[in-house]
Amino acid sequence: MSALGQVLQRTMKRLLVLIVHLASIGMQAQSSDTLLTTTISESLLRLDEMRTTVDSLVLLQSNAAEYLLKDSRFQLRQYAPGSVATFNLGGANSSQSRVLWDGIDISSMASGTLDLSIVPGILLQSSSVLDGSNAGSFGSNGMAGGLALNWTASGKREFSTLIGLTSIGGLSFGVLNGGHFSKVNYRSFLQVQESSNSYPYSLGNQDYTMNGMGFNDITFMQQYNGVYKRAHWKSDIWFTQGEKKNSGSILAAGAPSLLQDKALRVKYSWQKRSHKISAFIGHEWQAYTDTLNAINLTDTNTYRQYTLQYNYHTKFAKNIIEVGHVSAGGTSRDAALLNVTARHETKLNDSWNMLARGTFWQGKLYGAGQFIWSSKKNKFPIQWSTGSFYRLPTMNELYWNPGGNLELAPERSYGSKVSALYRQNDLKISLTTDQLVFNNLIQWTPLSGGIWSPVNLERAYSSSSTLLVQLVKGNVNNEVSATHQYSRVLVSSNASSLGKQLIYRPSYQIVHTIDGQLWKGRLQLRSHAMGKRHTLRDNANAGILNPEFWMDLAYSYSFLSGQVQMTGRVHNLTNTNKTFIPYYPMPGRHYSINIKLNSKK
Amino acid sequence: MRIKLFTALSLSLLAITSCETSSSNPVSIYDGATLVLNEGAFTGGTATIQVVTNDTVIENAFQVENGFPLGNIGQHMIKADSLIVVTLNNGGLVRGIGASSLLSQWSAEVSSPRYVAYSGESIIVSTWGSNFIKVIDPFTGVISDSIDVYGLSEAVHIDYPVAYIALNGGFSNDHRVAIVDLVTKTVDTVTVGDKPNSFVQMNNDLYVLCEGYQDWNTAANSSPASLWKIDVSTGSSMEAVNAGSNTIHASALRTDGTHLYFLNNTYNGAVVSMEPSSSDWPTVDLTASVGYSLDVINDTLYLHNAKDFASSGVIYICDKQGNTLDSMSTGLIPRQILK
Repeated sequence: MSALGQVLQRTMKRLLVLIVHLASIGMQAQSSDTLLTTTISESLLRLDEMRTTVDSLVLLQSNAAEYLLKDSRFQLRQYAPGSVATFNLGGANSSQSRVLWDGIDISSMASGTLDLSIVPGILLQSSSVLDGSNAGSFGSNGMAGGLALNWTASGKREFSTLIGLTSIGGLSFGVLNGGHFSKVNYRSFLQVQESSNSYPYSLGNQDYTMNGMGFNDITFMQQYNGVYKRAHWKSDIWFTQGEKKNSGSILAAGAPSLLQDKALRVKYSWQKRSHKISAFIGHEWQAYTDTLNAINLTDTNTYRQYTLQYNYHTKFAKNIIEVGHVSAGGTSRDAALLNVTARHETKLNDSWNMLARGTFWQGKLYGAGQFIWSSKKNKFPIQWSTGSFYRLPTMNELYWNPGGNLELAPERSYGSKVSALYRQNDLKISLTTDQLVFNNLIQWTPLSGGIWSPVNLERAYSSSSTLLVQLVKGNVNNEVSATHQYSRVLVSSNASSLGKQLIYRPSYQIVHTIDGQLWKGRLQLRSHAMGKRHTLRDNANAGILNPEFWMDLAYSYSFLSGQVQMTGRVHNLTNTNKTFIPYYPMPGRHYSINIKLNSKK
Repeated sequence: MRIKLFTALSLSLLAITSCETSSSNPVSIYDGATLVLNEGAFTGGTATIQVVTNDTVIENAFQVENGFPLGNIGQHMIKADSLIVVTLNNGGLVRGIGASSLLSQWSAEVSSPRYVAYSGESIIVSTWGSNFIKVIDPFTGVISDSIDVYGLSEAVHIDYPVAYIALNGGFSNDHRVAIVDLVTKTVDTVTVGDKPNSFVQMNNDLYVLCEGYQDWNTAANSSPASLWKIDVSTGSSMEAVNAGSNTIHASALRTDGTHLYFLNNTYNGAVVSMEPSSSDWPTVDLTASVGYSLDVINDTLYLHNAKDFASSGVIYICDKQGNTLDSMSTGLIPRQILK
């Protein structure tokens, strides 16, 4: 055997021993210890969502985009149910709002966004929404708004079968399984769903039937966790695969297109007392095909992310160092970058916290920081924060061929936020307002030669205020979520954009939910009002999406000692013409039924 | 006597009725109006036809009249007798629209239609969807024939009975013009520069502007814009002049009858002009580099500026020296003006 062969053999043996050792750590898991900190992330003043009986069931069978419509801070852009969904929170755009999975930023550093239509609702916690500049305290990138995803295998024995049907051609089937063996907790979730998205709609004086916006996808998630020698460990797998058609608009019906994607995400974390180490691997593959009879134009792109995160907590401080390697390949770009982020939070005294964040990206160092002041009043706490955050240029913006711009500066925010909370008996009121100036906003612009290129073009101001009122009276739950937004472009090379509102930001959104006991079940009525949105940068009338008002009605009922839970819903009860993107109408009034069969309790 | 009286009364009533009928048929606001075709947004947008008269602007006249949008990405618009014909390339439609009413008369499904021309009998449509140009009946909108031109087609010019079809390769490259006899349906091709995009005929010469190939991966593989000339009597072609640099890619060849005008760049181009006999590529910009498309009508230049492609555009109205005389606001991404 050659020397190289001997080295390889020794390496393989050591690797095998290591795998066996890691597996034994998992199998010998012991009881947990606790970790308490008082840092910015934990002390942010905000109200958790009110989750009704209907919500709890629907959450298991819907994606994050569909579920979060109950929150007025959440602004969605989507062609049809189940199609690609991008979002923003607190006045930002979709690449400025980030998605974190158990503390790790999983929004693609290639495109800057994560498609929420393939994020299962089960990953949403009641405190997942991070509005405005609060999100800066969580992630390693981004400026305003974010989603903190998580789920936990508690060890509780459960086995549920989930079945969903819709009147627009939707069918879903899922299995949720949990329990423990030895001292290892496990939980797994498998869901397949499809919909032809066939529904009638009207455009002007014409009636049509939506055809060509169908989708199907499969999601598999599994978590194992346990404790070994006072150390928590947790391993997660999350796989999604989907196909989405996009030729349903009457404007483009002649050009079928298909989006196919696959994503595999694996995470392992180990935590002992104040130390936590997490390792994350993400592989994403996406292909977009336009079919023009004789021509099939397929654009295939891949994205890979390897992240190692070290987290050190004390009672008064939190330190995070994250080293990531990201690469983007495929038809239009081929590049890899190192991404190193350090974050430090300190509790200066009872009233003041401080956050500092720095990132090494594309050979340069970028810094961000935030101060937070909190009042000590228990009944009427107030919090004020001010700081500056950044959104790094994505790999598409840097390396897209043609047009990528290596000279791009990060987008930067300067802002201030005030939050207040009031609680009395069954009444909870939360009021937050964010005032942000975004600098160096990146826009794709046609340059000479017909090449589109991203350029730091604009400065904009955004004011976003949210009122959340929750009232529980007897058996009746009430929640009002109201968000007002005002935004203006302050500086732009395009004179027609100056002084105009940022596109796709509704001036207001209000969601009211009332939920109460009716016979042996719960009846829920949810009303939505959304202000007008501009889709053209000069705010021309031709690009206005008009205000919309719609209601959803649901009734949830359990029987056989809770072993069967059923929810029937009337979506868009008011049969409103809903649109998130011009000329892509969402369904009018339609119906669905969700069933959860619990074989273990 | 009674019969004569009745006849006289009937005739006079008929005359009165006739007068009333003719006086209650006013001229349509669209007759003689200026029409602007706006492409609309690529994602979730509709093309629009904007109507401009002396005292009225109707921003989205087609939708106003018909109650539904025109379609995704307006590419080209012509007048064909009493019809307006529009191609909608992403929507895969060719629409026949009443010129006096702007009411939709018919629509024909054609994959990725590009340009149209009217032969006097038929509508000829080029396409990136196949190697076959489509022949459409202007009265019914029925596709009556498909002719193989051996490539993906762009601009169309008709010198009846011959149609000249630019073959530009769609998203790839081609460098030919198909010469189609519309009567015998025979097809021949001649070589021109890379990616021919527009025609102008002056007497016996058909000028073909070729934008040149842009290779975004390997710049050295790009080729410069060029102007070619086809002798319509013999069908032979020759290069008149080329831009020299493979970074110059020109579009929208037009004429006022004596000079040639075009944009010296496919996006944000400036208007340049040259005499047809010149052997030098024009280097003097007549206007600012803001043009997405160009029309020349009645000795006036109409320079279409799409701005950032996400805001309303503007058409600059210029004299032949490039001096701006006036401007008009348009919809999203103005592409063409018809007067």
